[in-house]
Amino acid sequence: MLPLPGGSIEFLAKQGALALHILKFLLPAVPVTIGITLASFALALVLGCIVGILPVFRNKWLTGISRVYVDTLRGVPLLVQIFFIYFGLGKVLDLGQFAAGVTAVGICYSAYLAEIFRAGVLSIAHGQHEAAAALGMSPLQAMRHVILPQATRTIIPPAANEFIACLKDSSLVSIIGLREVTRAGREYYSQFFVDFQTWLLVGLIYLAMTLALTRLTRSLERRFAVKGFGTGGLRH
Amino acid sequence: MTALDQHATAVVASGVTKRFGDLIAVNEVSLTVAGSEVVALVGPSGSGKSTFLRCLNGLEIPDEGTIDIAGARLDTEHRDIHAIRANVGMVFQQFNLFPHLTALENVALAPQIVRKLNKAQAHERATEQLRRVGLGDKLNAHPAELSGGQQQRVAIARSLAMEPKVMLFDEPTSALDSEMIGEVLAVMRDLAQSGMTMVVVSHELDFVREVASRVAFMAGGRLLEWGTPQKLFDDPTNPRAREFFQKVL
Repeated sequence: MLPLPGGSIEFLAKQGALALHILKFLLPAVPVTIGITLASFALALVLGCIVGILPVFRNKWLTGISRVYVDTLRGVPLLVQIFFIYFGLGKVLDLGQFAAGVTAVGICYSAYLAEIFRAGVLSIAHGQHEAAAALGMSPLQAMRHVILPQATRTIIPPAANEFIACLKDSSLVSIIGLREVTRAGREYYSQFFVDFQTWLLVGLIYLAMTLALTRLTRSLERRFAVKGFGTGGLRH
Repeated sequence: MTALDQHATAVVASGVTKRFGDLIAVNEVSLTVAGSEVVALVGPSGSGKSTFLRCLNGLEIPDEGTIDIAGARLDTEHRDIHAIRANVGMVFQQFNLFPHLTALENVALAPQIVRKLNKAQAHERATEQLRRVGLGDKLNAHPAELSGGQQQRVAIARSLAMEPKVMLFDEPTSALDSEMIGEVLAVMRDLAQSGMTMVVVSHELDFVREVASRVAFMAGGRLLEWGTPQKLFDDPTNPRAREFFQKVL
């Protein structure tokens, strides 16, 4: 075995201690990032589902509302929406940082999810709607028991994309002072002036969280698989 | 008693017209079906038979005319259109089973959420209907695991579990291989013998001759002639009907 060059043990020990020091500073912010992500994505799922299935009812008003909602929110940068809701509406509605951040991210992502829900519903053959109607189901009953359970398998992969993007975009709310992982990184840097190691570890923390999410969504895909349809390469 | 006592008259369609843009798919068709009667709609493709059948449960909205079915006036403004459809079974050419559910769940779903039966009652009723169509051993199979004939029998059981007053069949055997047609027709024959009121669009003329009490011949969106199968098949008066039956019989 090659001998380690002089001083490398010390170097590694120093780097390890530094990493621990940084992690100790960053990890308390992880629950905040997770909390913002879960809360805003839950909001986005509910709003996105409602807005996405409105066009199914073939009412020009409902369809119009859905289109305007999606086109508007999709067309404005999330950062601007965060500023608008926190500094604009927030002053009137007295929203705290967390509520404003979650509302901004949740509403913005609901526009993308609405399109994913709409696409999922469109992917179900018209005969399924007709069979449900012929059995006496209302459009809502058909949606809940027949269409959405089947559409879920096509909705999950693109929705998982949005989930991961949402987790990463939760870093934008650091701008309004919420102490999530990115904000904690900035604070560490301004206190100790360590840049390379700080941002490397911030990146690795995000990567660990997104990989965990990926595993979760894969298991959801298995759960909603439909016999007789492809699995997109996943094993049952 | 309403004028539409189901034992006397199950379906009265009068002057039904349906247009798709410039195409007149169904042109002033009137038809009466008595309770427990089996009426067949026959005619060349594109004659408007299926469209007319789909008007009978409001899957297509007629532009003109009225339809009384299962004791109610079908009217899309009518809030009860779902309640009327619950009393009118429909079997589709492509089966349209729900692929995410087992055979049992396919049949039990509507009794549960539309008829508000509890799960145990709905499953009991579904099991009974699946046995009736000879699929008592396939309760937990998914549609993808069943043959076409089996799938269509599940679809029939699914309609029957709603205890409909009238059953509509839209070319129920047209998507099936010839060896599977018989098993579906056998179920329909039993159903007719049990006294179910049925309106059937079919190209299976031997079956129609055997089971139907009356046959309506449609072409170009119009009902051109109607009578018993014997009269219509063997001695049609309408020239288009004569031409059609000479070709297919």
